[in-house]
Amino acid sequence: MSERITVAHAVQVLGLGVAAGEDVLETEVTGAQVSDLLSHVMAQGKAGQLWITIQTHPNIVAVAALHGLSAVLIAGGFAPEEETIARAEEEGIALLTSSEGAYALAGQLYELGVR
Amino acid sequence: MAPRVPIDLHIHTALSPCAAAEMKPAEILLTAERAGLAVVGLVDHGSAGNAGAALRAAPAFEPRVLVGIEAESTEGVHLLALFDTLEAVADLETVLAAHMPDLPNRPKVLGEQQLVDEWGEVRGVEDRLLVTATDLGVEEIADLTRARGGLCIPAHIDRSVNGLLPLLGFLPPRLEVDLLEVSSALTPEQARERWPELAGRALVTGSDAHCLQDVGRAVTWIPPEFAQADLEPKKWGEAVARELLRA
Ligand SMILES: [Zn+2]
Ligand SMILES: [Zn+2]
Repeated sequence: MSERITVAHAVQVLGLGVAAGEDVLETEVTGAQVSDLLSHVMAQGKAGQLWITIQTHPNIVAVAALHGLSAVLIAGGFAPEEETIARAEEEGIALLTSSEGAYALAGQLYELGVR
Repeated sequence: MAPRVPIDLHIHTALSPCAAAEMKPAEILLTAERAGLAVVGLVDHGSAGNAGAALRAAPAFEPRVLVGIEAESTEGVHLLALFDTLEAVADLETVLAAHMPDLPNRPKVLGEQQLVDEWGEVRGVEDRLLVTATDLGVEEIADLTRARGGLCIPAHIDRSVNGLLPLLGFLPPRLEVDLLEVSSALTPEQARERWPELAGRALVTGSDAHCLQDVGRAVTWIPPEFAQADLEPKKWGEAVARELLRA
């Protein structure tokens, strides 16, 4: 896999909503992980990863910022809280949404070349 | 050193499907009295169905009795909401019920949810699934509890199942609570070592008892005058927190 995949690319192919971070969508997605335990992401997160979760709490933005994740994708049709959106804009974190489940989204990202 | 008395604010009754049928309010209070507990919190997952029986049984026993709900936030975090009147706890129960899915309990898998009276007679069975998340955030549950004069304590904050710290990574800045409960798996000191952010926060520990034998298995020690205090639970929690941090 040599092609550079950006957040914008994933948004387009997977048909994702963008709740925050319109201007940081050119960030490269260098990997991904699925987790709803924020402590686990705090311990295991790596810069550039796209993180799929059903958590919508403002703390997800802080965790993403801590590691310089490329984006947080809220799966399962859950909507981020207003404060989460505000903090994502503040921190420059792309906050994405989808009505699809985490499993399906992870499969599509993998297909796209995110490994 | 000034004398101190033990309190255990996290004890389940038989309405919790995971609790033993022996967890009838009067039996719990008798056990608590024998264990010398000065204040107890009787809770159930998502319901206050046995709170009335607990409060009616209370005058016959030594410990001060708080009743409450162990609520589950949308993030999956468990929080104790403790009260000293049936009106307040029933009011919160109504609000929470509107934010929970209407699913049937599966007694064979999860256990039976028994409604009992103050004499221990089984008066009915709750058919709704009580061990389930609301769609309310942790901050909302804390705010709803405080607004009713209740004491909100995030439960077993160290546990990766339904515990605040593993689920949310760190204490949410906007969460307004005076006390935090660590599980009996570790001491407050060990919790502080593992999560330095707990510095300056008042920690309690509770048994999370599901059978009589476990009542008082984990306790917090407070000065005896705090046990008698007739403050509403919210203000009492604030006072206990100040005292724990002072000591
Ligand atoms: Zn719990
Ligand atoms: Zn419990």
